[in-house]
Amino acid sequence: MDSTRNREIILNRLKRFAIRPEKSVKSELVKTKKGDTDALYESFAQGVTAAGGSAFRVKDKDEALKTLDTILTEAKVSTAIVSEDNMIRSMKIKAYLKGKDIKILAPRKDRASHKKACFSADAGITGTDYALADTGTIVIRHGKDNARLPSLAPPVHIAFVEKSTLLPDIDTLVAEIKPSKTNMPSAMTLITGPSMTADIALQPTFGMHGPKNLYVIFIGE
Amino acid sequence: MRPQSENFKELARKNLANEGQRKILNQFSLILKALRDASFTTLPDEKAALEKGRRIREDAIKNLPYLLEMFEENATKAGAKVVWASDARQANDFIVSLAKEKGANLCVKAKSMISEEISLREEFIENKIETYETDLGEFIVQQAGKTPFHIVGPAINMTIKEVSDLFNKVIGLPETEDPTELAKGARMFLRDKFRNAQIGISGANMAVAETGSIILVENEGNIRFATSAPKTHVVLMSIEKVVPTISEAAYMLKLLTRSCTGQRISNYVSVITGPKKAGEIDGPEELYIVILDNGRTKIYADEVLRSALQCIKCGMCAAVCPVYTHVGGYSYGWVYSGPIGAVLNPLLLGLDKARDLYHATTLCGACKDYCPAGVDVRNIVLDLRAKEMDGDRSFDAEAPPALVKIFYRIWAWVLLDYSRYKIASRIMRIVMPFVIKYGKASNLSDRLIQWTRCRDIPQVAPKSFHETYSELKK
Amino acid sequence: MEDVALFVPCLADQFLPEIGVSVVKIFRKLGVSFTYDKRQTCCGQPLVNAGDRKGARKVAKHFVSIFEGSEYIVAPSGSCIHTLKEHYPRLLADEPVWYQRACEVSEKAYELSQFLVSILGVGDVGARFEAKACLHESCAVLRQLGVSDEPKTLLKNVGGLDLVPLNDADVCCGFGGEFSVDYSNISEAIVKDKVNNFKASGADILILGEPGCLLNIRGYMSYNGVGGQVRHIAEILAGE
Repeated sequence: MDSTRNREIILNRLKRFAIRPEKSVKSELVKTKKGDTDALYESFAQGVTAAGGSAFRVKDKDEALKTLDTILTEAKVSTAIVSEDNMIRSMKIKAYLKGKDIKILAPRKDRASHKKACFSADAGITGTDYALADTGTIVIRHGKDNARLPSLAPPVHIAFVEKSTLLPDIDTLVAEIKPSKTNMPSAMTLITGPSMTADIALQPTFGMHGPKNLYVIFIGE
Repeated sequence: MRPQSENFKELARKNLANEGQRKILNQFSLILKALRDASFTTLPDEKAALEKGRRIREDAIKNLPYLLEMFEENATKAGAKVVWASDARQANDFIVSLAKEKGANLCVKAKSMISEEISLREEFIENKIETYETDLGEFIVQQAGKTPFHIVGPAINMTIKEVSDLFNKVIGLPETEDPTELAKGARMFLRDKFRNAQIGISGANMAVAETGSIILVENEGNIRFATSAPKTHVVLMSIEKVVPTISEAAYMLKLLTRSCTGQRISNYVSVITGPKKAGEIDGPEELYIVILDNGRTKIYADEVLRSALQCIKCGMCAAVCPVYTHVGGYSYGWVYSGPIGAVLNPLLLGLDKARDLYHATTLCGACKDYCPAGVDVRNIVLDLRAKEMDGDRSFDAEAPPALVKIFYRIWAWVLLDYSRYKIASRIMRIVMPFVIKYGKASNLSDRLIQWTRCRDIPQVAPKSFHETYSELKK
Repeated sequence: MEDVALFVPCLADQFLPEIGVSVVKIFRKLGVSFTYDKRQTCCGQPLVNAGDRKGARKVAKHFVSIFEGSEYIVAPSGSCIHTLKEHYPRLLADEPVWYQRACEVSEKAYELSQFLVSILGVGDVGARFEAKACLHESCAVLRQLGVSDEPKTLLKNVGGLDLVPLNDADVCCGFGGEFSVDYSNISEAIVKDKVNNFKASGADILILGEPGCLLNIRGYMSYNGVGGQVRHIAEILAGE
């Protein structure tokens, strides 16, 4: 297949009838006024719950760890895969889990073992980069420290949200990240609730391919 | 998917007779519309939102080649390998040889209409690459050897028992009446494939020029798996998918998820820009983006037909279409069904292969009203009919028989002069009583009989309004 | 004084002249100065829908030359007015002079209820019609012309008329011109739903603004022995 030739033909055909963009191709950055954090959190928690997840609000990192403990017990988690992002690191989650007798599946930093760990862990514990109040969405910019599979493969996903990253809506998210051709992560995932399907006789079921349970721990009064 | 659109009449007849299926279809359409309406109330102004969406898509199509160039440049900068294919054969050959080159023997596929258009899955399987649809509905349909029943719910017409029997047969799952157990069974089966597949294939809901990103929406998580676990990810996208910016993509997202499933946002939205970066431990090592024409540059050349390319494949048009909600997706005989199918299938397959599709519409316009992307189905339909009347070969239209053309010639001629119209009216007045009397039993005209299968033929008034008017004037 | 050219659609002229008679009655009652040009035949919509643009153009020119002299063109039909408004300019787009003339005609073409309420400013025509009725919102009137409030306003003010809701009032009746003969089984399924909804509404009369819909629904009901009447809105507004 001569891709270059195809490209020529396709673009030339289109250009015969097309017009150039009239304004510069740049995202419109519109921030919705943030407003009261409590109200924002209310909306956020509502969104998480409506989508089938659970939201918890805690005062600080210590309380967050306690809540994590409760969730891990309730969800009967014995093995976990933990993200390497700043939030997780600053909370010293790994150390905490070790103390609680939860086996951390620490991959030997290669693809195959990481994959194996993610596919066999009971839970994935990650930080988040943003949260969107109007839809109860958490946003993860994947990278070296925040891999993709930990929030996808294990049947339980526990995510921490920092108060300052709670935004009103997706438009504000766009304004925050200021997308450009150089600053996009390889993948950014917007997660709203656990995985879901209604493909069999329209009966809703959680935990289709992604997690069955999503717990969001929101840190900040 | 093998096209069967020329069998529309027969398929419609069969599907209309399937009472059970019709009930499900009707219910589902009502549900989708209700969900959609409810979700639109969460937007400040529904009408303004629809207009904005239509403008975004219209402008994107107007600027298409320039946006595609920008998209390619930025996707390439991000490390993706962008290739261009002119038709199905080329795209299939490229992707298959790529898969072979990578030594792939297992492939996981996300739901992608363009891949159905070119029958990519079948090509893979023919080339001994085990390939699985991973969206639950599509998985069921694939295993059952059927075609999708509905854009949004490919297998919702199958009963729980039917799915259970199917899963028992193909994946050895013990019989069950619990849909959750069935879903679990599919999950376990496919999880294994996600883990081991060397290549993942997806479409693209949107391609963003500003950043070179691909956006994908889903609720299940299979797309995240297919685009994160295998080492190679191939995106197959048709040329019209591109939007200028992330902010406009975010806006279209609001309309897409609301129109498709009544969700403010889907459970997962993946924004993918290039393959994994250095140091990342998962994600594809290579990302290929295949930009495919497959008949669209031809559509683009026509000012009226062009709006068909604005479609974002939300399925709303089908949910509000009186024809679709009675005959169902199977009747359209190919990848696209409902109003968008009524125009896209003929345009891509050739008008002579899907003639009924653009004739079997009441032109009610509900589709256009609800479309968040500005597809003017009504006028495209009328345009296709005009092309057919002219025997326009550019889209393989087959001119109607000479008798039909003469009929319309005479009709127009009659309408151009009241005295001719009057004579025709007189003739009709004489003939009608006989037609009504014997119309049901005779072979006067197959078309006339068609009206009479469920309706009385209207009586021509003894005096037309025109004739009455002279008396009224007094 | 308004100068209205009355346009009676071919289906009404031939099969339902009472619709035209009703419009005349309404105009006379309201003192509307109108003319009925005896040269009129049809707007050519069937030709447009069949894709016969050659024939449709000829008919369009004929129509334009008959009607362009008046200040307003009013018809008891949404689809015919839509044909004038949208298709005439399109059909004649490549002939600048005709295009101009077609645009001028399209700008002064109105469906009946639209004309009464929006142009004449009359919401109450002083009609009387004792009945329990519901309104089917014909596709062309509702969607192609955007006319929905006007017929409702007019009907609300008809003395003795008890207007009840109709489920799926905005869903097509399945006529679609040739569609009803070429795809009769699908058309039947659609009109059956409409009639079922009519029965479920509890109304005795189904009111609508389109001759085609009327023939379709009435034909189905009489064939299947379904009780109830189908009437054009003009007939209701002409009632005393």
